[in-house]
Amino acid sequence: MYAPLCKYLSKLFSRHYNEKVLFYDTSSFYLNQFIFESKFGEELEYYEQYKIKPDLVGFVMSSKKVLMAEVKATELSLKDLGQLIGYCLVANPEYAILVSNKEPSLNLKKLIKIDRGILNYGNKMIKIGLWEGKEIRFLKL
Amino acid sequence: MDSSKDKYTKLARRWLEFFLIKHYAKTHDIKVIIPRGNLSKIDLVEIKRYPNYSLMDFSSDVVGIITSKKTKKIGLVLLNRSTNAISVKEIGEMNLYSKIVNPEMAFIVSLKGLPNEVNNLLLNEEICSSLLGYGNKKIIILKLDDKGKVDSKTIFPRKFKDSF
Repeated sequence: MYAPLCKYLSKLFSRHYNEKVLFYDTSSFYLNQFIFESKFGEELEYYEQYKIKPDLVGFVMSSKKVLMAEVKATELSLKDLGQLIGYCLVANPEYAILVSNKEPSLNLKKLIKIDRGILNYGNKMIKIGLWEGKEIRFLKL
Repeated sequence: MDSSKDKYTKLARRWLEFFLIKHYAKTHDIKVIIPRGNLSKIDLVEIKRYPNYSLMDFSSDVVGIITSKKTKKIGLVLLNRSTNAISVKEIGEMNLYSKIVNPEMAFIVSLKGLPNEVNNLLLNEEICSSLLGYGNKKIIILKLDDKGKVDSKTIFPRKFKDSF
């Protein structure tokens, strides 16, 4: 799923920010190392702390913002949300998406319905998405 | 035969029980359990009396239940253990559980402690505070060796370094 999602998210956020945004598969690298070795290293600040391995990361160069997506091929669980929250509390991405090609678990849906605050990191909120093969449907839970 | 994870869970349970007895026994009744499923499904009257217990659709490796002898108010203590080094992933998980349950205390204990990359992250006060904070409390991370001894050099947040 990583490759088509990278392509889709690059397109989606390029439209959103009205500039070229590229997503990368960073699942096998520490993010700080990935940034350091890429062209973004010279542009971004404070990334040395990003010793985390999110699945996909996008960069908005004009505003030096980081976007993040964690991808699962199983129904999303509280554990998956916790993992992404950990990454978000370290890197504070502008957008963070937890996405799967399966519906979230009933537990997760129930908890989000009762307290949407569990999606928060700082003053931002993780989005939950369902990958439908060609696009992400963002779920309004 | 117990796996190494099971053995370490039992060791962590004993450690937590000893810790709670030392700090709470005068004022609280104490139970420490190793849940076999989601906390919301545990058939214990104390859990069922805990506010919003039905939201606890997750499991923690060890759970301490402290009941005030005076007010009968129940507090939970969550502990997740790892036989490997602790990652941001596990801290995030405990952070989320703690925000849902608001436990009296929350611990992540590990046989191997913190790898350098997480240790360095937690030395940044802002990151440490947001990763470990829930309400006005903090998740406590420590290295617990296979004899049940805590390495005080590995405790985060550092303000707890002399507490164990």
